[in-house]
Amino acid sequence: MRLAIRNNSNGRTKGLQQMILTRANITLDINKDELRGLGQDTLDSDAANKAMEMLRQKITADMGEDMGVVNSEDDEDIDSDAAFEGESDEEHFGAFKFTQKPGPSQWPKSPKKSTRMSLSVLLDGDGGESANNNNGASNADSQSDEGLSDMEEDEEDILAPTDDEDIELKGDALNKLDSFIDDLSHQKRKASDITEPLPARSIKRRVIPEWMEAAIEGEFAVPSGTDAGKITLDNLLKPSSASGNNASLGSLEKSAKLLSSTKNQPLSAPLHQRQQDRVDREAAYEATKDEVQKWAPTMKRIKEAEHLSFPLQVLGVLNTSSSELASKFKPSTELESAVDQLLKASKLQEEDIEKTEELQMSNLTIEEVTTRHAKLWQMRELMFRAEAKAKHISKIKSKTFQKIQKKAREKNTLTLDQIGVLDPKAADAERLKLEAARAKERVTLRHKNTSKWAKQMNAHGIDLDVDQRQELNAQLECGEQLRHFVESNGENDVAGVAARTFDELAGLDSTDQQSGLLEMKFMCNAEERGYRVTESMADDFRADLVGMTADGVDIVESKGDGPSALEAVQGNQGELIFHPTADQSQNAGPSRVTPVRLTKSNESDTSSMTLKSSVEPVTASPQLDLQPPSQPSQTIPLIENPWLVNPTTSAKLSREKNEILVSKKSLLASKSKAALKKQLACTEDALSHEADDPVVEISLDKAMTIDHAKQKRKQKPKQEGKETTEVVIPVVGATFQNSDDEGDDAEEEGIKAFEQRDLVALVFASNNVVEARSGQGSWGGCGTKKSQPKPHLIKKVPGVTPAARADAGKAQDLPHPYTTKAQFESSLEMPIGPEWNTCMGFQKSTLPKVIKKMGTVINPIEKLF
Amino acid sequence: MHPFAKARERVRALNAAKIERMFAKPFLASLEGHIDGVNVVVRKAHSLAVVASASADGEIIIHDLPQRKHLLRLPTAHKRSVTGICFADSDRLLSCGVDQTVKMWDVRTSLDEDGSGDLGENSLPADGSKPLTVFHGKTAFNAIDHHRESSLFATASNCVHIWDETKSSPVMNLNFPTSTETITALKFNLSETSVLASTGSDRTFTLYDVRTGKAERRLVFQMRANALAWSPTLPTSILLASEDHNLYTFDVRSLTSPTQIYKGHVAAVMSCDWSPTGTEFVSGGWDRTLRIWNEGDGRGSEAYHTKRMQRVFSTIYTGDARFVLSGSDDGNLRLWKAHASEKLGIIGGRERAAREYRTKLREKWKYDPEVGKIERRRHMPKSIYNTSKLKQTMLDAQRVKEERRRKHSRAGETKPKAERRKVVVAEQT
Repeated sequence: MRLAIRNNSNGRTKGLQQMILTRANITLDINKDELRGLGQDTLDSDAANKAMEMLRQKITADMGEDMGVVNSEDDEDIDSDAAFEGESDEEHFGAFKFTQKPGPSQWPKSPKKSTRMSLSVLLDGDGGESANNNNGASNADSQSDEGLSDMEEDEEDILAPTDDEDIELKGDALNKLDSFIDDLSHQKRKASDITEPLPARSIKRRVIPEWMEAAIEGEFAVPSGTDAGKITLDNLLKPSSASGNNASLGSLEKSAKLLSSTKNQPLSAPLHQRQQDRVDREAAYEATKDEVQKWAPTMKRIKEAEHLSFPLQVLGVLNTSSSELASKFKPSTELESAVDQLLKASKLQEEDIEKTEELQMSNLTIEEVTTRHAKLWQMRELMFRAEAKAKHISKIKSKTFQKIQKKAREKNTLTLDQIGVLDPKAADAERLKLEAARAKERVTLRHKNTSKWAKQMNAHGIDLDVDQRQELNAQLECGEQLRHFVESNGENDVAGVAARTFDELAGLDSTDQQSGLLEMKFMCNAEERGYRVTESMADDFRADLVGMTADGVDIVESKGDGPSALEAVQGNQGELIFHPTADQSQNAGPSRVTPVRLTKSNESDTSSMTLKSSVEPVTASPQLDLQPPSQPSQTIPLIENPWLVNPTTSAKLSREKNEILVSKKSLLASKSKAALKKQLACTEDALSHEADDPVVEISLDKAMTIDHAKQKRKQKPKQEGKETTEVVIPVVGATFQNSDDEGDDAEEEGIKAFEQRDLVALVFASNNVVEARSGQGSWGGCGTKKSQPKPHLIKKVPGVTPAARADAGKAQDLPHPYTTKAQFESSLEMPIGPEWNTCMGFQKSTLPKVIKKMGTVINPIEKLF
Repeated sequence: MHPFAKARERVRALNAAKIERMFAKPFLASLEGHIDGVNVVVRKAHSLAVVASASADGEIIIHDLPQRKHLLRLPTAHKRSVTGICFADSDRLLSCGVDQTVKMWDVRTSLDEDGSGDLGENSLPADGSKPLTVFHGKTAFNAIDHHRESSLFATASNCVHIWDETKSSPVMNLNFPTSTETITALKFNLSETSVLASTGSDRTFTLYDVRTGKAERRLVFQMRANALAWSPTLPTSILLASEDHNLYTFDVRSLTSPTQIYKGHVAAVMSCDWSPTGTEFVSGGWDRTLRIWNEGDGRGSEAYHTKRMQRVFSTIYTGDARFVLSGSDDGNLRLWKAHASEKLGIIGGRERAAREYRTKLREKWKYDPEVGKIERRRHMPKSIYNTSKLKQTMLDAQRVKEERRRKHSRAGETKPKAERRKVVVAEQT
């Protein structure tokens, strides 16, 4: 029970405090006067409801569970309670609570109740208890809608003691407030007697009026008690109404009741005009503020907008439909009126058409019409669906899906044969067309960037690396050359070249008798093996050649070469073969080289050992091909004594580097190298080549005296010969005149080197300036000594260290939005110009904040609702 | 990124600043006709071409801006000075004067769209010489403003009267109870249309609401405010032109201190008006300049002046926010560009892009010393230059004095007060 009391009072307090708090934002300090002045208008039903709500919550919470749990609401309550200077609720509002009805909204009712109560006290004569019961009941009734009827029992007890304070229940809210505040002060005074039992107080207040008259009171005998002396209209009318003879009296009673209820309370004195005005102004200002506050979101949006495009509020453009326009249309010009008349005359206007349709329809039965409609609808539906589907399919990006679609489409289209079956003429025409197209393509687009590979390469665009680009260029070049060749030479030349090649191959076949070591069986076997391989290669090549000529593949002369040095070009993708057997050589390289040489060496009749060794310097020489030709002297030490070099390794090297193979399979590096060599060969004049030739011959004579060697070298492209000669010279020099390279150098680039030296001397002449005059270059003159620093004589005055400066760590003169220097600098770092930004980015970054439409009135924003 | 991008942009910014200064020629035209100083200029709503001006000799002229002609002249609209005019709607004009009358004029006949109805210098329309209605007051009127939507209008005299166009006497009197002041200016809020604000002669600013019919709050300043204007885009924001050379923006939701102080004038500010965009406003001062401010930027104002322009009593923006009009004591109405270096006429796409780029560059590089110098430097008339120097000296002296006072008082007794806090002396409820 006690708990309930406490909670009740607590809730009540909360309600009131909340009222005060709601007003607290008007002025933070509210004095008594103001409270009185504010009166009913601020203590609205809202606040009361809130209070009741909170009260209920509190009660249910406390009834349901222990007091130990404190939720956030409770915390708030505690805070607001604390505002009443830290006294317990019980002390404060034990009395106050019962003087008032649950909420301000119910205050107007309370006076009635109080009067009734007093009456009942009078009439029943039962005293306080019954009155309290009544009171309690009424109270509970009033609260029943708030769900507090279950608390009735509790309240009876509580209500009892406050009986005598009914006097305070003057209907006016202001008075209540007044009393509330009085109570506050009163309770404060009585803060000490908390333990005073409530029943004692209730007993004290139960005053039973004395009865002096003997007669029963009625319309003729009125009681004359001091406290119950008041005679109300009710008292007088009761007997007559009890008799209940006329309805008019009832209505009179009702009106009288109303009168009595209002008359019963004295009107509160109005506030002073100035005070009242002030209160009104406050309220009005609050109302205006609230009204204006509705613009807050709009204003926020405007303030935060990056760009404001005026007019801000565009009134919705009226979307007029075509039918609307048509209905409103009235011919204004002559032409329009003429057309209108024509239409009217020929009955082609909308209404006429409808009419004719209707007429036609009228001949048909209803079923027919419906079926027609259904058909039409179906057709429309189908069309619409097909359209939608097509649209959907066209939007699908999946490549596989599109591929499948394409295949399906192809399946649906007739093949040439099918066409042939159906219509032979059309098929022929189609075939002819296709052939023509193919021929045209063959003629025009060959060796252009139309192949799949080239297209892919092109698609990469800029991403191609150097090698790929070179390849592409080589291909194009090749195509160009081919075309040129075809145009200039024609078919017969190709045949000639082919014939010559066949002759050469036949020359290879001629076999000689062997003797000596070579007659031995293992040698013969080896020879046999080698021969077979060579044979097969030759066959292959022959077949290739035949195929090529049959295909119409061209054989091209290399630039600036005689007819003997040939470059066979395979047709398909412009492969360049400098050696007829290039492709095969990669597979059968080692076995091929040796047998050829062996067969040729038969003439010399020298030992195989010498033969091998003699071959080596020549074959090993291309090892240096990797280095550019300008630095032979550096590479020489690598093979100072060629005789000591491992023959197998050298042979391997030779195999790899000796021939220039440019084919599909060949590496990019080797291809490019070949191109480089070719270039070099072109630039080197022919004279030097001629001069080198004897040297080569000399060295080869020393090693092996074979005519074929010469012959073969001649067949080799020029650049290769050039390489060999360049290398051979030092090799020979190494064998005959040891370590004499410097002299060679001097001989070779004598004038050039001399010139360079002179130039260098000239450039660095200033560095070797001799100090001719004294005093120049140093202040003290030549030879003066610099004195040592004397630390004891140096005086150091410590200044203000950067850290000790007043503005240490603070950014100096930074404009407003920036907080650090780096931030500010980075803002300047990013350029906004069109050169450094995309078009869109530039436009975006330079868009002004306010965009106005020329010649448009900008109206102030207004409410659009 | 290009290695010289930054350097190049800086040079461009510098050039842009120079170009902007070179083309900064804001003065467009002088609309003559008034014999006395122009007290009020107002623009007609929903129109770019038509403005009305009233002068101290009681004449009202309606101008056509594009043709720079008079559409209508009302030479003796009022006896003595006309203190306020406003358009009631597109074809009626309200004017008030010190002769204690408010007159409603029909200006429809002369306001034909094609300008064919305009009249010569001397000929007067028959109906133009006589007002439609005359409203009589008991005191001289100082200002008038029309409600944006309804037929109400408000006049300022010893109190604020709310009138209905159809009624001969005011429907409402609004005043702050204890005041004995004269209301000098008043304006209806443009968006929250029932809210009204006024300035009074005893250094006050008062807020009213027609719905509640009450003066709701009053502020007392250090010095009186001469004019006020509600922001067209921010309905809570109000601009006050003060006698203390400053302009203030207030938020009516919290009137304890201004949201921004705008310093620049060297004499009392006599008038102010917001740009329709709400991002700028113009003010005219006793210092014979009019200044254009950016909202929220308290310092950087663009000052317009000419040799013959006297005290500027009235300033307005045109409806498209491109031009500014000023009416001054010398009897001329002057037309200015709102942005001094703006090019008039049609601008192509490329040129527009270039202009926008230049503007952005200037904005970006304004903290660069050289660019900033060009941007900031203005040649002012000698009088204004000297006055501003003098004012600075005085302010410095004041500051020093304040500091000394504080230094010689007990510690903590006098605390420095923020400039914003000094503005409002009292907020009365």
